[in-house]
Amino acid sequence: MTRRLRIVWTIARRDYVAAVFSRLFLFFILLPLVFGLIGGILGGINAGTHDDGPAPIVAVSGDAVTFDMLTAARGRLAGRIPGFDPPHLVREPGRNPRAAPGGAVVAMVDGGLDRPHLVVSADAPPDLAGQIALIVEDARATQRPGGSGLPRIDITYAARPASTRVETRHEAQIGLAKGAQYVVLVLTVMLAGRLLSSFVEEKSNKVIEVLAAAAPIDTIFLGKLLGMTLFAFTCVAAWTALLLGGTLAVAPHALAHVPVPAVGWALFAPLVLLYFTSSFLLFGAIMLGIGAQTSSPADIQTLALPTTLIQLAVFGFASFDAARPDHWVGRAAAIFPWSSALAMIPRAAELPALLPHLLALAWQTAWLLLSIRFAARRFRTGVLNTGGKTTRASR
Amino acid sequence: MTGLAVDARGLVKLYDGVRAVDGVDLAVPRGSIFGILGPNGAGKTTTLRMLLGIIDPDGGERIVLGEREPLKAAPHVGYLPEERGLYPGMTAREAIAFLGALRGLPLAEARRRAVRLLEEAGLGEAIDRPIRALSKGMAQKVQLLGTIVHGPRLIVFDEPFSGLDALNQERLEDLIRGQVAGGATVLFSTHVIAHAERLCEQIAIIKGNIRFNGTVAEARGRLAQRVRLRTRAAAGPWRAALPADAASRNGEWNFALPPGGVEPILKALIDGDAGIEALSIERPSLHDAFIDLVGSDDMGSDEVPE
Repeated sequence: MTRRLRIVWTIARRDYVAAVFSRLFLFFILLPLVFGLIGGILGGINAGTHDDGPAPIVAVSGDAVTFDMLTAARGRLAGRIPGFDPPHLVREPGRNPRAAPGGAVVAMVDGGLDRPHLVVSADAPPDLAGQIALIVEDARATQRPGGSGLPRIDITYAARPASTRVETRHEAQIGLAKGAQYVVLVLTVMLAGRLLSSFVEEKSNKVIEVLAAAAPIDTIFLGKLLGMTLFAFTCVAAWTALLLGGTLAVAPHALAHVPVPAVGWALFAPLVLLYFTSSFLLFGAIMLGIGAQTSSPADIQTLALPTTLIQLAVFGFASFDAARPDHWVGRAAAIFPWSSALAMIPRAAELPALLPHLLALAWQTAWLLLSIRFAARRFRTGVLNTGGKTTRASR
Repeated sequence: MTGLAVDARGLVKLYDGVRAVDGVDLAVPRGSIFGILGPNGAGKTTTLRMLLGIIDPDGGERIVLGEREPLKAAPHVGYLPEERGLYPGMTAREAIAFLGALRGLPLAEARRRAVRLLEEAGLGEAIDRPIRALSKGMAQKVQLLGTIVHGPRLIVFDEPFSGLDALNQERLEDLIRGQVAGGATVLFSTHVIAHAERLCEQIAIIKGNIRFNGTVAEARGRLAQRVRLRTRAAAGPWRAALPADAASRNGEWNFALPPGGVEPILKALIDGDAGIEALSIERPSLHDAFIDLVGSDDMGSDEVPE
């Protein structure tokens, strides 16, 4: 057993060093920056789209004169201040001034121009209160040039109902789960592809013959999988350091808004790492089994698309109902070995129970061992067990 | 522990129902140089791969260094496959150390030995160069050193001389002798008979199954000695004294040495005034024995002895 472990480590170390000192590593490290750049560009486009969208609606309770003065002030300010996009004002004389704004209305002005009172919903844009205050002051200045001497506008921020807070937290956890699933998928697809191509390269440069004479095939496969897993951990560590470092440098307060998963970060992070490992190993074992049947990089290119599509289909299955992991689809995805790891991530984000994770990891490990056995058997019978240069015609 | 490094009995390997190896028996004594000879496609490589545990036989059994499962003996075995394979990005030192570590050598020790072996082999300047930057011959040497870095008790070479120039073939022969002098057993396959004739104490000639198993002398001894005769006269009464199997080609007679020796023929040649230009009694070579055993049809262009 010790000898086997040493061989596993020897092969893993070789593959790890080869991967870290390859151009691939630089590509992997830069990947989040590329994604960040694309995200930034798309975000900018999105933000631009929002700028052109409808302005928020503010209800004005009270008489028509006040409403007309406020509307006139709004128009003046919009013409005077470049880029000023004031909210739409609608007159709602019958509206209960104590009721929190809702629906399309994000704020309400009450009390006329003498004692203006603004109630702002939690969903309102952050600069809305300032804009309303400006409109009210302009209307007052028109009414009483030279200064009104009236009290400043009174602003109340409506609290979000408790149920909404829970809903928002749940939504944030779903977002966290989807994000983690996505990262695990991207890593798995890329590393499994790398594993496959390196294995075919090994076959083509005949190193595999030397390996097969020194150790059982399943030991070799384990070594290769371990090497790639360690490479993935290095990438994840580098990404995390970059992300944390970047966030702390640019927006240190943003970390306070990161949603807390149901099992807590202390368990969620290692669980996601374990599920990534499990997902990669399960797909990797299959990739090695597929790689065993191919003989050239051209074969790999032929197989690359369908295998990626299968992985995406599994991802789709696993994330089909990420918002409700206890739905039957979620349960089925958690049971199917190749989607199990991905499907369990939303559970860790949204449900606090730990036992299902222990069971899932044990289940996935059992399938991993079976997969490696199967792949090794296919390799022995499909590749090593060929006649090579033997010409049967001579017999 | 037996006196055999390899003991294989009745090895059978089927490919798509065809018997590529059909009941091969091999007994390789410890500390010997044993050659497996055969034409291309005779099953040499398949036999070696079965002995190494790379593939399993469909019949028969093999015991390697006392182990029924050959991979259990892997730490004490070195293997140089016919189609050489190294990681192109690895340095010469790391490549050798990796091969040693695969066989159970601690990595630090494997690196130390790799440096020593490379320097001894005159490849000191290649220690930190990647394999892809080495010539084909140098890369072959690196792999050869990787085969022996862990001090194996059994070294298996599959066609070790292919691709090497005459000088390096001679060096490899010296290395093989050196390893055996150090206590190792060497088992190698070849279709180049001259190497086996120079190196081996024992050989097996294989073509699907074993056609011959014994010493080189025994292989030669299977064939009678040949007589070559050239005369000035093309015909005469002396021709009646030649054996029935005598055949003439380009004015030269060739026949097996008769049981009564060459003297009665010599007397008839002199009495018949044949005019003897040349007469020689030739001992058959291993090549002759090989041709006799496997048939000349199976000899490809590579099989011409050096």
